[in-house]
Amino acid sequence: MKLAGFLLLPAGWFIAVSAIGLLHSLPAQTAFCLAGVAIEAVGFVFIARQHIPKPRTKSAD
Amino acid sequence: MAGLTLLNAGLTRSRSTAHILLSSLCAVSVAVLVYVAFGFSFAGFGSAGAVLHAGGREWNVMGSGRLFARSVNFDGSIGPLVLLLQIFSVGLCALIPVAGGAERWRIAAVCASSALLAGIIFPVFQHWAAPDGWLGQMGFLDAGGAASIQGVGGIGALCIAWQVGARQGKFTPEGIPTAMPGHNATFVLFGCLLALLGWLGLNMASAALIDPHNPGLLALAAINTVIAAGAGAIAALVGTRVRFGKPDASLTANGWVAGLVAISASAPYVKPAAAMLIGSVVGGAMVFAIEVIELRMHVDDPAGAISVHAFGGIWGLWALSIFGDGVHGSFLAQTLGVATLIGFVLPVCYGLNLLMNRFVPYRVSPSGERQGMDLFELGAGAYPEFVTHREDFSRR
Repeated sequence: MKLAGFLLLPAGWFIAVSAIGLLHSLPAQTAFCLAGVAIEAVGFVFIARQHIPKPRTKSAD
Repeated sequence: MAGLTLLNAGLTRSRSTAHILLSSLCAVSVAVLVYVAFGFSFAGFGSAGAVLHAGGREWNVMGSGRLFARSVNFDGSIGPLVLLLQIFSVGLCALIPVAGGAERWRIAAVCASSALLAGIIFPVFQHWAAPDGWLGQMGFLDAGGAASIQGVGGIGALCIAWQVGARQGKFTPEGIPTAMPGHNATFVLFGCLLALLGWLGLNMASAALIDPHNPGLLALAAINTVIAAGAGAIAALVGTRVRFGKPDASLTANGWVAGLVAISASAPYVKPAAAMLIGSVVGGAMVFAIEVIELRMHVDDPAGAISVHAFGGIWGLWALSIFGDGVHGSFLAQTLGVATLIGFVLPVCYGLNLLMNRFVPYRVSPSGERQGMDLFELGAGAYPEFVTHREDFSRR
């Protein structure tokens, strides 16, 4: 999941940058740019969840 | 820089005070040396070393100044002033991750990581965000470094906090965070006042570079800086009073700094009323951001650097598009800047530090952490007279 998160971060960025390069209408550019940030946010959540240490349960003895 | 260093030292425990002060000094020193030697040439103000052509546009992705800042002419032009401002900027940026790894990040690793930050990450983003970089050409504005200094530094702090893990005892085996209060509220609060002085210089210098012949712009930048800091502190004070029943000194101090961070992008561009709103929003939200980072993300950030600098910086970028005059910093351009911070700076910073961690271990050994970073790494504490001797408590 951490790897997926780290793939999603640049993927979202590429979407945002590509929108500026390829699209010409401002609303479309803004929508794609926000979509890119949303994808980055999903990637960030994946990475953050993988860094949460698993709770240790006390042994039965 | 002095203010942030004091703030960070005050928010950590007394057994690591000398260590965090020395780490900060080392981080600034290495960052400045590496930046002048290599980084400034990549940042390449006014130069276009690598220009890509795609989508009918020119993408200026890297500068090509000469190494050791030899492209700066000390002939009365504005070049040396730019270099001076960038030297202070990179020093400030390198200080922020030190707070994220406080009390468990070794000094050798601090130096190595600061070199990466100042030599690669900071100058590349700085070049993109500059007026002749590809982000800047799209209308992205960041007058005082909310993105290039605070955002990059805050993301660096997050990467370091992830790399080194939490301090021993910060989280119970069940994953519940425990309070580890800072040791010196005087350092924390005095550090805030010192930080204001530094920020005034930074934001006014940035305003002077935008329009050297407009003293009103300098005054506006200074006024907005003070207003945003005050609004951030009051919002955090009220927020902690409502949430915890009593105002919290350290969170209020962080609210003050968050206000300074958030106004960095827009100090010369917004009206004082907007600065008040920008500071209030970030000061109030920062109280919750610190909780989310600790309780939900389980990240141990002793001085709140991630919430203050990364969150505050990102809010500051968007705030310029919301409260600005509509000419400077469009919403699209500012969003693209935020996307670049999260989608480029974060993975690159994490990857480089992950790699560096293999060669220079970042985290101190468990026994060293128990002993305290001062004694373990430096051999002497910041407060030698505070040592508790067993004979002081012997039965007489």
